Amino acid sequence: VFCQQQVAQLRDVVDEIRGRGAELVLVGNGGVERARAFRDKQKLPFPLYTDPSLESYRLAGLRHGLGSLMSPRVALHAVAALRQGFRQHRTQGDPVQQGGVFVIAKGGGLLYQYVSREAGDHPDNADLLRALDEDAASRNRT
Amino acid sequence: MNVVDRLRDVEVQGTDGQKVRLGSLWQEQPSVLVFVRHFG
Repeated sequence: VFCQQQVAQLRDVVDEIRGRGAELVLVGNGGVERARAFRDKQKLPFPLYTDPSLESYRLAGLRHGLGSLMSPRVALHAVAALRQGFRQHRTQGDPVQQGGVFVIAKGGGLLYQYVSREAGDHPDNADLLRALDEDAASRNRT
Repeated sequence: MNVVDRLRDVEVQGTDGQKVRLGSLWQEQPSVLVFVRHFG
C-alpha cells in the first residue's frame, strides 16, 4: 500500500522532473521477474531497476532491520510487513528494508538526499524539484 | 567518500535482466534516484 502510494506521488512529478532535463529512476530489491510484474501492473512511466543483493541500499546508508525501529507501534508495523512479505511473494523484496531518495547532478554531485525512517515516510515532490532548480541555477552562474 | 561515489560502481538489473552500472544513470543528465522498500 505504501509503495503504491509512493508510485502515485512520483507519477505526479515525473513530467516536471523531465521538464528540468533530469530523469526519474526507481530501484527495488525483489527478483527480476517480480520487478517486471510490478512495472507492468503499475504501468510505470519511468525506468525500473532491481538490486536483490541490497548492496546499493547498504552503500546508500538506507535503514534495514527491526533493530533501528524503537517504537512499539513501528515495530508492530514492521512485524506485520515481515509476515505479509513472506506470506505473499518472498521475491518481491526484503520486508524490513527502508527506502530513500537521492537527487544527483549530471556527472555525480549529490544535490539532495532523504533516508526514510519508516514505511510511508517519503520526501515532498517540491523538495526534489527545488534541488534540481538550485543545481540548474548554480550551473547558469558559472 | 560520499554516497554518490560509493554507489557509482554498483550494478543493478533492469527489468530485462541486463546489468547496469548505477553511475551510468547520472552520466548524461541529473537523476532522481528512488530506492523503494519493496515491490508490492
